[in-house]
Amino acid sequence: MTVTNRLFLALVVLMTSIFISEWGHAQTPKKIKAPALNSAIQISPLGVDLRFERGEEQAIETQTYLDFSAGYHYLNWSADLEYNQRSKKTGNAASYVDNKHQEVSLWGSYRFFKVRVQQLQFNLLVSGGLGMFSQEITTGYLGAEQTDETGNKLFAGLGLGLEANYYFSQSFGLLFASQGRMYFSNSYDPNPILSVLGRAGILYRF
Amino acid sequence: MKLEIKQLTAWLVSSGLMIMSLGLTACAPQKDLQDTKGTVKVLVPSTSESGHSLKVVNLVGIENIKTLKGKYAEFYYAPNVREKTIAGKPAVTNFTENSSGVLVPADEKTKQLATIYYHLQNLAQLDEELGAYGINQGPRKVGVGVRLRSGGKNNAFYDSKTDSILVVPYDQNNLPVAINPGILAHEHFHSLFYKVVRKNSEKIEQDKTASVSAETKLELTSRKDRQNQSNKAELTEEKINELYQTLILRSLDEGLADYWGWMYTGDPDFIALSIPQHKANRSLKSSDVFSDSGLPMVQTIKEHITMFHTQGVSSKMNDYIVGFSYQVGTSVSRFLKTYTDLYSKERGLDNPQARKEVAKQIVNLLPVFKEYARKENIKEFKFSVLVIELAKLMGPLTSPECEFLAKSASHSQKSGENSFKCEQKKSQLVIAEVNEATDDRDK
Repeated sequence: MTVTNRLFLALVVLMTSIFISEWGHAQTPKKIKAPALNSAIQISPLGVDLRFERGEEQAIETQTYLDFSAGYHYLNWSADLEYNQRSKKTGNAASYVDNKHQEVSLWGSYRFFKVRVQQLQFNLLVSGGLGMFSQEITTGYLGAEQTDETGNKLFAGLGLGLEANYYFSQSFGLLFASQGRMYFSNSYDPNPILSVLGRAGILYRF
Repeated sequence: MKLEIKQLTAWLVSSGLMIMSLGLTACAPQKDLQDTKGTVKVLVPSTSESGHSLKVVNLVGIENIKTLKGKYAEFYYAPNVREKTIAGKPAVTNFTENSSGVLVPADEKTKQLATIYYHLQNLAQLDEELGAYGINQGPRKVGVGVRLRSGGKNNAFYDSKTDSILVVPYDQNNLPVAINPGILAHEHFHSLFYKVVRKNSEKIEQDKTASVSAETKLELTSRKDRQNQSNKAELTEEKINELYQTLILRSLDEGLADYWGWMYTGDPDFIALSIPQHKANRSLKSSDVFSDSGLPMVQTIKEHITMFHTQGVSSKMNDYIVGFSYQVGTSVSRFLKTYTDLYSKERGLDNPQARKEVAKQIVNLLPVFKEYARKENIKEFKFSVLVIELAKLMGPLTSPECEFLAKSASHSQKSGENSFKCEQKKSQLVIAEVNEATDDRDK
């Protein structure tokens, strides 16, 4: 199990335990008013970014990227650090290309519309990000194999999204978010790449 | 109101930051691969005498790296192949640059396109070396991901109507046809053979494509053509000669193309790398070329044609002929390989050099075949012609070479016909035709 997978699993376990613990509190008859967002941190280990990229068969196809993010929220603003990865192997046993893509990016978001319904809060947001990506490409041919690494390349992104936060205590909440995004880089095909991002995580308010 | 001004400021600041970040990315000092032209370093698979490897090669004359169009090839993805045109979107590549500035294919399809370009570039340069310069002109048109009406897979074709190499999808777990260097050389040779031998000669219209395997056909003939075929039920002398013409030309085309694949790769089993089911019947290895795989007699071929007609359905006659031509073609390629190995040993040349020397003479033989390709001359063609004409071109023969060639030529003559033997003429060994009857009397 790789370090990333271990980290992912640990976060899932942590999130589940917090959820169960807080769910217990939520069952008490005490009525909780959804708090106004002031400062908060969020961790979203469960994210999937579906990007519409040119596939091997030349058409625009959906490529699935795993998404992990952690961020700091203040009032209507947030800054999130994201990590995305995708691994794609094409070819057959005799001749193949295994392409591993990784990227790190910093995103800023502004929530321009909010609505609260008891413990639920919905936000509409716009976001912009800047990041770097790299690829590790393993080429195989009749038993011969070679791995090449590319340098880091810049990319930028814009997004428009909807968030749903469910607060089950004064401090903790669940976050569900979806964004439509555009990624820009002169290495992308097409440029920009459109995507639909979905993620789930926890919020800790302080 | 204060809040609204604050929000507006926030909007403006955030929008400015976003535009800046996009601008930074768009104008970032990273190299745009789309500007790459001329000579480009690319990682491709390579097969040589020493084995299979990955190596960095120069692709020359690249005009557009995104579509890999250049001096030696232009690619079409899933093209429409019509009567005389190949049309469709250009194939799009996906390269990434490694830390040494080498372009690395980021997916298998791109690797295949780069490999095809590399081999077509090599084969074009080889044409110059072997005296076939100018037969093919301009970038070679290559269709990849070609979809056949029959759904056929695992094959490659040379289509003379569009002068293009067409590669259909590959679904086996072996070396894809598109990057099999021997198969690419095989298809490349078909273009040389067509342009020198078959073009403008009287030929039946259904015989415009050549492939590496008989199992998948490039179905471009119209329904009307097929109906006409099925109506030709009677096997007249003229029809036998027409089928003989088709068979001989196809056999020479396939046999020499297989030789080209071996000449280029040094692998006598290059077809089996992609299509293992052809290992036994298409291998150029032969322990004894005078066994049943020897150059066939005219009589044997005509008997086969009659037998196919008697046993089969007349509408499938063309399929029988195509299938049989691969068998006869393998006899031709095995004969040439055996001779080349002997030539290499006798002249003290390394095998790749010997293969090129024989290939040069094959190029010189093509105009001879063109003469025989004419309908009125094809009746005169026997495989001994191939042997004798090759012997004339190979220069002074050593005794073992001469003996082998004379035996091969005689083997393809039917009993009662003249045979061949080596004679000393002006201090050189030559192959002379011997009248069987005179020879018997002498004995």
